[in-house]
Amino acid sequence: MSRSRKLDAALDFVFDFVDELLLAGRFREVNRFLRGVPVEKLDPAILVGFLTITGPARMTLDAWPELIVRIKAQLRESMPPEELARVMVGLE
Amino acid sequence: MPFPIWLHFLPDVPLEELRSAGVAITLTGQGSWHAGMLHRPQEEAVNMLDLANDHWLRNSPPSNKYAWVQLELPAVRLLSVAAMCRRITKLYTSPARGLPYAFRYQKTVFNVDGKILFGKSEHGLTCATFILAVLKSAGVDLLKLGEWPQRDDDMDRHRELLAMLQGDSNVSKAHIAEVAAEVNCVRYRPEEVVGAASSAQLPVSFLDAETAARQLTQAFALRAASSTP
Repeated sequence: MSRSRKLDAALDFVFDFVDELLLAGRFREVNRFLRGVPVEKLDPAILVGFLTITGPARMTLDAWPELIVRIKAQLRESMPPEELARVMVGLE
Repeated sequence: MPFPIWLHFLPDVPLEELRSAGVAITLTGQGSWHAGMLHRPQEEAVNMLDLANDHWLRNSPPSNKYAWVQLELPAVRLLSVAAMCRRITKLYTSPARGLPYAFRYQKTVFNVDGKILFGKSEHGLTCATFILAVLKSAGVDLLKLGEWPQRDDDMDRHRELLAMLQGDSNVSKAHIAEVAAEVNCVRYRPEEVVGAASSAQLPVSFLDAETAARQLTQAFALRAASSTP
């Protein structure tokens, strides 16, 4: 499977998995899942996907403030500040 | 006058050139337009996710009558917009589900659970506000909504669209009554939404969206004139 296909499959997994848990009201499991996201091992597109899908629930997810700090720190490693700023518009 | 460089007519500029997510538009009649979201899983065919009518959300390749615009977002954001489109496709393209059609739009989004969350006094989406809602759900504010004015010709268009809903026996009377109460509301025109999508500076002002819409309209007219024998 090519890298781009793997990225799409991984994004679909994140979107579907997190959505289904939230739909079921399983916030504790979502928080646990988000705390365990290995940000240093994931592609920036997947990290942005985590922020995109969880952003609307940021007020109800205890793990969200820590998640965004960890993801931003990781993204900073892979892109210049001006690109990071552009990527983060609307996600914080 | 040349076409604006951000507007790509099919089949001249094929959708293979789309990077993950964009928007598409076509003329459906004199001064009336239809628009939808383009999304592509990498290396697969591009589909257009569009609200065609009340409770009729389609996901299929656009015809060659459409022109398209690349969303000018970072690549990693485009991938999430496309993933959001796939998620909405899974939830709403079934005929039994769909999405209601209505005019008023301010805050409706696809909630974190993927389900639609209507703003206060909002009852559905149009083809254009569907695009706004998808993008908003992915953290992208396309338009400066507060700048949009009420326009008399928008009220006329709303009345035409309402008449179409009233002629559809599948639409409940209760929903038609809700939509009828929205005829005077602000309208985000499909050509403005699609024109705005060409901008790298978001959200787009009313004046900039109106300018882009004018360019888009002229390009379609020129295209039609040049293809007429």
